[in-house]
Amino acid sequence: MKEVLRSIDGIDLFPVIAIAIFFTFFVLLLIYVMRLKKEEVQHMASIPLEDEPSCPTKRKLNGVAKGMGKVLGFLLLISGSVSLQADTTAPGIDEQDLLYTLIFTMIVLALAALVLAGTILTLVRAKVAERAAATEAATEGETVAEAEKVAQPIPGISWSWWKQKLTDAVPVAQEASIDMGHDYDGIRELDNNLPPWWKYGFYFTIGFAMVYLVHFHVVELSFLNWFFGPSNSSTEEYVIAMEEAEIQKKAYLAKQANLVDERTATYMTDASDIAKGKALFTSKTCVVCHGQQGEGGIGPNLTDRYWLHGGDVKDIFATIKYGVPAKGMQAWESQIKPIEMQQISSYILSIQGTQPPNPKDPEGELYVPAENPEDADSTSVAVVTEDTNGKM
Amino acid sequence: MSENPAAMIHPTLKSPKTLEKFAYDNQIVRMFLIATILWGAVGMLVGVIVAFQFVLPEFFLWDGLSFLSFGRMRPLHTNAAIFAFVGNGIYMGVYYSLQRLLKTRMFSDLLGRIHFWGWQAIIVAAALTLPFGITTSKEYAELEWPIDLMITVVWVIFGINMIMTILRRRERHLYVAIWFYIATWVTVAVLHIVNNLELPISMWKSYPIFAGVQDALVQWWYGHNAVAFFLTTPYLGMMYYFVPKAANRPVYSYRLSIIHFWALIFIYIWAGPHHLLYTALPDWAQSLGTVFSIMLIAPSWGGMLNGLLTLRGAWDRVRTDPTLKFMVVAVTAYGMSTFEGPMLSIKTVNAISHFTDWTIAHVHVGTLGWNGFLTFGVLYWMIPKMWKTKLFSTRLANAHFWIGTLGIILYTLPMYWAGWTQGLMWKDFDESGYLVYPNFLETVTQIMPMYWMRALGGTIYLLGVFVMIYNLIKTTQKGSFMRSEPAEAPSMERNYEKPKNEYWHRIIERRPIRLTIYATIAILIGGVIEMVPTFMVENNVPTIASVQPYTPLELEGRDIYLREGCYTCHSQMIRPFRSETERYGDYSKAGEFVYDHPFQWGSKRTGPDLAREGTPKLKKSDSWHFNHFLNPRITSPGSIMPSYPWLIENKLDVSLLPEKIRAMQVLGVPYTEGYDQEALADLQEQAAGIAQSINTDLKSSGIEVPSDREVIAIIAYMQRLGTDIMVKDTEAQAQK
Repeated sequence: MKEVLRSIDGIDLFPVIAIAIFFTFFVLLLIYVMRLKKEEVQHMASIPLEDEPSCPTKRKLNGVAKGMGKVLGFLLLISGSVSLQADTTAPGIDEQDLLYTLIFTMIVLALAALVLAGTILTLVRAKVAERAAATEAATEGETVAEAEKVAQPIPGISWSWWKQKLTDAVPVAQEASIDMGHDYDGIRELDNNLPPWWKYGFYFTIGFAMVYLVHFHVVELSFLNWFFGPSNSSTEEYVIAMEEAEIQKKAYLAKQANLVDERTATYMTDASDIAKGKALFTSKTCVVCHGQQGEGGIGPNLTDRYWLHGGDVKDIFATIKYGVPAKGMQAWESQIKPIEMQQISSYILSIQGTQPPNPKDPEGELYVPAENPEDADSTSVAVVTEDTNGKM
Repeated sequence: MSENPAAMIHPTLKSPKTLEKFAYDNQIVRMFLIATILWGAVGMLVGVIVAFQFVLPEFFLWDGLSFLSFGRMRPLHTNAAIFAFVGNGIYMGVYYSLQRLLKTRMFSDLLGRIHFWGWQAIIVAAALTLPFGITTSKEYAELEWPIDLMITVVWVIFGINMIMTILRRRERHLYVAIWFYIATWVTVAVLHIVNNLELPISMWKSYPIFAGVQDALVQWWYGHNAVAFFLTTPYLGMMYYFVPKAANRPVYSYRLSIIHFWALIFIYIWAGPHHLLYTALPDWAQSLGTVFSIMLIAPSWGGMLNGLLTLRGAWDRVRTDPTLKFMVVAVTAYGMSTFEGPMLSIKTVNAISHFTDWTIAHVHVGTLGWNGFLTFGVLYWMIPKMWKTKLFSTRLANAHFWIGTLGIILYTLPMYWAGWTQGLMWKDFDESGYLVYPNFLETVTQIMPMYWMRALGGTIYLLGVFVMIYNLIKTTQKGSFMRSEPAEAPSMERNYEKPKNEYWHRIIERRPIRLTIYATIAILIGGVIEMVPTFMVENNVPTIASVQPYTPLELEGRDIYLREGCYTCHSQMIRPFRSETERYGDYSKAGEFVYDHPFQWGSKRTGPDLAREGTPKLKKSDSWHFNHFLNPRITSPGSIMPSYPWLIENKLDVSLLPEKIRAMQVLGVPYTEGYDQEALADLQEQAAGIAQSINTDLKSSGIEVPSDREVIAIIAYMQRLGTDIMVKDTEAQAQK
C-alpha cells in the first residue's frame, strides 16, 4: 500500500492525508457538538458507567468511551504512519521537510494524548460517580437538575469539566456572582478568570520570542540547538546547505559512470540510446524551438549538415550544456544530466540528412566530419535509425 | 477581583427623570446591508471566474480579452472581497451596533449618506480601473492615487461620524466592540496613507516613493495589517456585539477582553515581515516578524475564547439556530487560521509553504470562514430584527450553512494538498544532485486536479450565498422595515461619581479620546521600530555598483508588467535555498532592487520566478518570448498562463516617457540631467533591435512585428531581469 502511494509523482501522501484527517476530525467534532442536545450533555456529565443495562444514559456513556477509543487508535495510526514516513524519507527531501513532518506528527500525537486524557478522565469520573451514587440515597430523583448536582464536583471529559478545569470558569448557575454590572444594550459582562492554559500559553510564546531573538541575534544558545538549530542567518544556512549538497553529489558521482562532459562525449549508436535521446528531445522541450523532427523554428534546423556551433558530437554536447544565451539557446547544464545530454546529442546526429517537412533554411557552416571512418559511421547510423523508426 | 455589583448597576439610572427619547437610524444600516450582499456576490463571482481561469486558461469567455485576464481579475477579486464585501459589512455592523451601544442616533445622517455613496463610488471606480490595468501593483492597495484620495476622504468622514457619535453618547463607558472599532479606524488610516505615498505622473499613473526592500517592507506591513485591521479587528468588534445578542448570554470575561484587545493591536502590527521570510529583507526584521507572529496566537485566541465561551449555557440553541451556527463556525475558523498563521511564520514551515497555494488556503479559511460566516450570521439575525418579522425559512438557512461549510472544505483541502505537493516538488533533488522537476510546468500540471476541486468548492460556496439572498428577500417581503427605531435612555450627566473598587480599565473606557490616543501609540510602535532602521541604516540595503537604472524601453516594459498584474503569478525573489538557486540562479540581494518603484517580489508562484529571467541560465530568445506572449502553449505545452495577443496589437504609448524619467529622477534614480529628452531615441533604437531579432527568427512562420508594439517593451524588460549582478560573470565568459 505504502509503495503504491509513494509511487505517485512528487506527492508525499501521508502528511497530506493526515492534514485531511485532522481537518475532517475537526469538522466532525464540530458537527457532533452542534447536534448535541443540552440534556445529553448534562446526562453525560452525571451518569455512572456500570449497572442497569436498561439505563439508556449508561449505554451512551459506554458509547462515548468506545468512540474515544476508536478516535485514539485512529490518531495513533496516523501519527505512526507519518513518523514512519519521516523515518524513511528519501535523501532527496531535505531536512526542513523532515522537521516539518515531525512537527506534524507531534501535533497529531498531542491530539491523541488529549483524547487519551479525556477518556481516562471519563472513566475516573464514572468511578467516582459510581461511589457517589452509592452513598446517595436511592430515593434521590432522576431529574436532570439533581443529577447535575451529583455530578458537579466530579471531574470528567464533559462540557462542565472543560469549562471548570481548563477555563477556570465560574459555573453558569453561579455567574451572577461575577457579573460586572455592565449593561450595553442588554449585553452583560462576566468577570471570569483568564483560562489558565491560555495565560500560560501567552507567557510561553513571549518567552519563546525572547529566546528566539537572543539565540539568532545576540548570542547562540547552543544548548537549544536541538530545537532552533544553529543560529545561522538565511545566507549562512544557504552556504551550509550548498556545501552539504556538494559533498553528497561528489559521493554519488564517485560511484557513477555517467561523468560525461564535452571532452569525453561520444556518439552513442545503440538504438535504445537514440530512442531515449528522441524522447528527451521532446520532454526537455527542445521541440519547441527546433521542431518536432528537428526541422527548426525559432532555433536552427538540426537535420541539415550546416552548423552554427560545430557538428561534432562534442560540439553539440557543449552547445546543449552551456547554451548560446545571446541567441536564446538556454544552458541546460542544471536541468539535464550529462548522460542524457549525450543521448540527445546522439539523437540529433542520428537525424542528420532526414528531410522533415517545413525545414528551416540552413544556417552556419557546412560541417564535414574530420575523418572518414566517423563519416561512414554516421551514415550507417542514419540507416539504422530509419530502420528503428520503421519498426516503431 | 470583581467590582461590587451592587454599587455598579446602572449608575445612570439614579435619576430617571432625565429619560430622553430618540430613534436609531436603520435606513443607513439597510443601505450598507444591501451593498454588503450585492458586492459579496459580485466579489465571490469574480473569485469563481479566476478559479476557473486556472483550469481553463483558453476558455472562450476570457481567452485573449485583456480586461478579463487573470492578472487584472485577481486584484479585482481581492479588492472586491476585502473592501466591497467586508468593507460594507463592517459599516453595516458598526452603524447598527454603535448607535445601540451608545444609546444615541448616529451623529449625522448626512455624513452617513456621504460615507455610503462615497464608498460605493470607490468600489465602482475600482471595478472600472482594475480590469483596464490601472493599478499600482501593490497587493490589496492596487487602486491608483485618485481613488486612494477618495478612500482617505471617505474614511475621514466615517471617522468623524463615528467619533462624534461617541462624544454624544448616552452611555458613559465604551463597550469592547467600540474599542475595536476605534483601533480599526486609526490603524487603517495610518496604513493606507503610508503605503500609498506615491508620486503621480498622470491622472492614472503613479510611482511609490519607496523602492525595493523598503517598498516591500511597507507593502507587507500594510498587507498584513489590512488583514489585521480590516478583516479582523472590526469583525471582532462585531462578534462582541452580535454573538452575545444572538445567544442572549453575557460576555464570558471582561478581563480577557481587555488583555486580548491591547495585546492584539500592539502585537499585530509587528508581524508584517513574516510575508518576507528568506527574502532580501534584513534578517533581524524577518526574526521580528516570526516572533511577533508566534506571540500573536494567544491574543487572537483570546478573541476566539471569549466568543465561544460566551455561548456557555446556549449550546443547545446552537443546534437549532442557524445564526449561532454561522457564528460558531466563524469564530472557530478565526481560531484555526490565527493558529495556522503563526505556524506559517516559522521559517522552516515557511520555506515550504511560501509562494504555494498553502497561503491561498490559509487566507480562505479566514475570509470564507471568519468574515463570510460571521457576516451571514449577522445578516440572519439582523434582518428579522429590523423588518420586525421572523426568518422566512430556518431550513433554507440551515441548508446554506451546510452548503457553505462544504464549500469551504472543498476549497481549502485541495489547496492545502496542492501547496504541500508543489512546495515539495520544487525542493526535490535526486541523488545525483539534479532537481527532480527542473521544469516548473511539471509542478503545475501535477496539481491541476486540485485546482478543479477548488473551483468546485468556490462555486458551491457562492451557491450558498444565493440561497441566502433568496431567503433574506423573502423575509423582508414578509415584514415591514422600520427606518427609524424609537428608543429611550437617560442622558449622561456631567458629574460622574467614580465608584469605589473600580477596575482600572474603566477610566479609559469613559475617555474615548484617551483610548484613541493609547491605541494609536500601541499600533505605531511596531511599525516605527521596524521601518525607521530599514530606511535609515545604510548597511541594511548594501549597494551593488553594477546595478544600473532601467533603459527607457525596459521602464516602459516594466510598467506593462505592472499593468498586466504579472506579480499575481510570478515572483521576483530567489530565496537562498539550494532548490531555488539551482532552478533560477543566484539568490536575490537587497541591492538589486534599489531602482524598483514599486518592488515586484510577488507573493505567489503560479508560474516560475522571474528575478533572473534575463541571465544566461534562464535566458530565452526574443522570439521565444514573442511566441510565449502570443500564446504560452506554443512554447510551453500545458501552460495555464493567459495569452496576451493585445500586447502584440497595441502600440506602445510613450507619451508619458519624459514624465516617467523625471519622476524617477525625483525619486533618486540616477538618470543623467536632461535624459528625459533623449529617452525616446534610446527607446526606439533598443526596440528596433529586438523587433529585428524576432523577425529574423520567425521569418519562416511569416510573422513580422513592428518595433512600436508593447510586446517589444516587455520583452526588453524580461531580458534585463536579474542581469545587472551578473555583469562580472558575462564579462569573464566573453573573455574566454
